[in-house]
Amino acid sequence: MMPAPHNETVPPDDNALDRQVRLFLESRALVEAHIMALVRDAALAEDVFQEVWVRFEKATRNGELIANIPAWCRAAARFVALEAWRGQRRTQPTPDQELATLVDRAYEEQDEQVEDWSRHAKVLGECMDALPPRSRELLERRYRQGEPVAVIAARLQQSLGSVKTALCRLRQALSECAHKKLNQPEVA
Amino acid sequence: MNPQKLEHLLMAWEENSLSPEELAELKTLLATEPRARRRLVEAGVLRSVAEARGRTWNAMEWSGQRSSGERRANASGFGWISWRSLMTAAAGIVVGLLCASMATAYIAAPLARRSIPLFQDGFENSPAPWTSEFPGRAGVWGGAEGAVVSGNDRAQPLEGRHMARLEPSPGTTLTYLERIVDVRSLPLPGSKEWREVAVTASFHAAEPGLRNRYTLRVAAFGAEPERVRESWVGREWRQIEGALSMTKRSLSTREDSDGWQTLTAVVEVPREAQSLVISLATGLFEHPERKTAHFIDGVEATLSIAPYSPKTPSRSKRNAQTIH
Repeated sequence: MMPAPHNETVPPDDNALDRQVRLFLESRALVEAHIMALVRDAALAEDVFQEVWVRFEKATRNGELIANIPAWCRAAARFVALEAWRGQRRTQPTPDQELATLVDRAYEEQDEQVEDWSRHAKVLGECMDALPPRSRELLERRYRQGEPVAVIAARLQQSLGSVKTALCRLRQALSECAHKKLNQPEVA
Repeated sequence: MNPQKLEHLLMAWEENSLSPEELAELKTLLATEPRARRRLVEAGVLRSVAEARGRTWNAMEWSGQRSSGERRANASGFGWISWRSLMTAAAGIVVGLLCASMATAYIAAPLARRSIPLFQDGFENSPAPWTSEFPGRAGVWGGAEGAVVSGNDRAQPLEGRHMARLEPSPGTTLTYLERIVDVRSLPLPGSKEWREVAVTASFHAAEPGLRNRYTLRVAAFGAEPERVRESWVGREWRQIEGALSMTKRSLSTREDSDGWQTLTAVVEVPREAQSLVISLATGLFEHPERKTAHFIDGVEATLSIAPYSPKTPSRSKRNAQTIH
């Protein structure tokens, strides 16, 4: 049974299902980011996210109205990740518990801002699309291919420091770009 | 709070390379600075979006869309699971749901498998009616009399507002709708990789109470798309010569089974392949003399390249059917 804070069960209803799926999608950016912070492994994070989605869909179909979707998904993700670690006989990362609590707190504080984060993810994607090829390559190597910064530096024949700095600046530039876009008045 | 310093700490945390001093510093910042906690979430979202975006850039590069300026990225900024897929899943197609993504995650080595959509046809914008001739080039449907129709009392489109309606062929037991896919410009697998295409299609009967037969066949050929007709038309399935690989999935329904039926076929696409033929067939089981129309919707093809893996399940396990 999945943890379900503040939920109630009602007979299934197509509109409710659609609404829940929409809300899940809006929460996706936060949910995925939290899962990655939890499991620290891109492939496992994707497995966990898919399983959380399947469980979410099942719960919704069974009439469970989930009041706080990000919180429900975080709880589900912890459960699924534990199962995956046990099932695959993989070693569970043993993060500093205090840090783990702070990370959870950081995500909890954003539970009411799901719509904002959904918009943030959208404009962030637009900012990334506008990047020059070399910046894209850096992002792709680090986040899509999962290459550590040291590996990227070796492959690009650059110093570790310069790649770190470039990635750091790129992240900050993307953040600024996203905030700028979000603060622009919408054109009718 | 020094934003530059925080960024370096977050990057080190993401890489599991924090020193004890840096860990203590990060914890202090997170415990005392709401902005630091927000930035941690923001960095996580950036990472997720970048990962999804990377896949989209790859897909656009592979399918030549980057140069043409077309963008496949959906409005949410995530290229992997589309809203349509999720809504389809919500409508009950759990097996079809997220299939590329889920299968990828479980059978391939981490971060090594690449998948790109070859086409996705819900018949929303397809030119119709099609010619009843086998298509003479890649990217168009042919082989059966058909039209794009809206939903009606009998059937609603699986997705979107339209679906294909196939009229029965007068001279054959089954009615065929076929399409050639040009695979020459697609990325090749490396020496330790395999390449495959998964095709999914959904079928619906136009008349209730009959036993229907649906077939999905996919075959890879070394011939160019313009020449593949010679290897395909007029030949029995068992006698198709020149196919480098082929897969066939069939489904016979019961009289009382109604609704959309989905078939998925996966075929290996060797390096030598130049063309892929996708063939959808509809007809009636046990009533070869009787004719009726059928609907088709949600035809999708996805190319995947992944390393050989001992965990890779047999192709028959990856071929599947769903009734819903």
